[in-house]
Amino acid sequence: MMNRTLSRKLLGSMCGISNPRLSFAQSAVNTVQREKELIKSRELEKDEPRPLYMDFQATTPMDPRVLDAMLPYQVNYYGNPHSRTHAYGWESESAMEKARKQVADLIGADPREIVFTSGATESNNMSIKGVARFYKAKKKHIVTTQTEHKCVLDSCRIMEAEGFDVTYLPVKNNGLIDLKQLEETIRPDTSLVSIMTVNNEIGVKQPIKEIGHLCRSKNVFFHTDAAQAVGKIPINVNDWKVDLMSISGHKLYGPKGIGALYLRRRPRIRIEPLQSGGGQERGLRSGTVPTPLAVGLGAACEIAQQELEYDHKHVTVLANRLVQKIMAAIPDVVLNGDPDQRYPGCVNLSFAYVEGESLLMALKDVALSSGSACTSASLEPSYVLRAIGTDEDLAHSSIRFGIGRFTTEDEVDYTVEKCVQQVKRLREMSPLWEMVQEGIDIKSIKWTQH
Amino acid sequence: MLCLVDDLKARWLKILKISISCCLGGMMTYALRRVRDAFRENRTVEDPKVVEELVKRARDGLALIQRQVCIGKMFEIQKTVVEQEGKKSD
Repeated sequence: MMNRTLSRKLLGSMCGISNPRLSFAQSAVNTVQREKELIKSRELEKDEPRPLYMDFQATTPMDPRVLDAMLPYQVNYYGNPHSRTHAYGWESESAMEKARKQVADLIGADPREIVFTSGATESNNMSIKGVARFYKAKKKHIVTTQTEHKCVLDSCRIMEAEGFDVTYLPVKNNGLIDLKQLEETIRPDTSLVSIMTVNNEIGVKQPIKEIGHLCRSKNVFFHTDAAQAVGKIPINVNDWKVDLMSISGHKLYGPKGIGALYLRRRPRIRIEPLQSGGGQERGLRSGTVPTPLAVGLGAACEIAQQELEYDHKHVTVLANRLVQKIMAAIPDVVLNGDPDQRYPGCVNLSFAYVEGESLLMALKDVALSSGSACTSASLEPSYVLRAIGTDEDLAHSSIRFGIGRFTTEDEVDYTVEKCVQQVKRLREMSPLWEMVQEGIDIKSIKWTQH
Repeated sequence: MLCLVDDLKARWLKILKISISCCLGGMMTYALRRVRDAFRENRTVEDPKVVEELVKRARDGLALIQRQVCIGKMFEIQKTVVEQEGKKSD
């Protein structure tokens, strides 16, 4: 039987307490706010080496070719693209339209179907709120999944407050949705299904083509948040029968502050605009289009189209190297999400008997992200890991490794070496690991609350 | 055609020297890898028009690298752990 001190210590470090009173979407939003508290921010010293960047899902460094394309529009060609009366406006508009075509070409769309936004968050908001409000007279139901990005879940929460019915579909243990369950969930009054292409936490790739065909057969609009997918996997909105797609600039080596929304023209989908003003972007998103950013997004899309296969091959090789080396060196490591239906550059590993935030602090030379959200006051695992049925303790022990275009083999090897070293060190300090080594079954222990 | 390729090789060597001297880390490693792989992918191309197009693209690419290396040098920051270790072992 455990003594009180040990059980309290272990409870404090490993057990999560979820608040049943919060709705699913609310709980997901609050998790992010608490995540920032444990690791304290500080500036690097002048001669202190920079950490390796292994968080490509959070953001990506701008490709030098993108910066090269943007600079003339930051320095010389500074006209407003909506000015119709002089060369400054005309050249700026021409650049913006060229960028629009570059974005459209990457996803197999018509340039007239692309609306520039401030990013995928705005695109997601426009899609969910815009479609729901436009068709609200006859359609009051929205379907999404439990593993969507926070902006999608929060937008759905807002729609619930406006009187819409929202179904948050569960996912299987591998992170994929059940198509049959989706089909059964769609109702005659469903206006929109929103399912992300590639999950930002676990990298799982949903069967978008099958979902698109299903939605088309049921006359339901289909939106996909493709922020993590565009430029990384081949996308064709017509093959996939996607009606709306959100694109983020800073996830594909482009600038921050720009994104795009794809809105199908045939069959036509209409949305109620969120932002009113001068009627730019066909009245769907008023506001001056930031030409340098749009040019940057266009350049990033063109480069991504040229380099897609090359980058995918590079990222796959490095991701396999990372996973295989870690799993060969240390036991009890779990890869979260489907091992096949995934984007290889997003690797989410759970290291059993090690606390995720402790491992992050120990790996101070590597910029990584944790899949869990811990604070001293409340311990809640990532809602995505919770949705795929990961055990509480493993959810707290997860780390997300992001690999991208500029990641080198040396960086991966260094990360592996440090990760293995620190996991071994932390496990030696862990009373749970000691118990496992002695042959005690952790799951058979009855924990007490004090 | 040989003159174009020789010209390109000379520019490529220049870029290599710049990269070794300034070492812009991951970006430069990527540039070196990408240019090397591009040379290898296209080494059997014989159609003169295609070669000329590739050479033009390569020249533009090398000019871009030179510009970006200059900008990178203006805003140089600390090296990463791996870059520091790489420099020590050189």
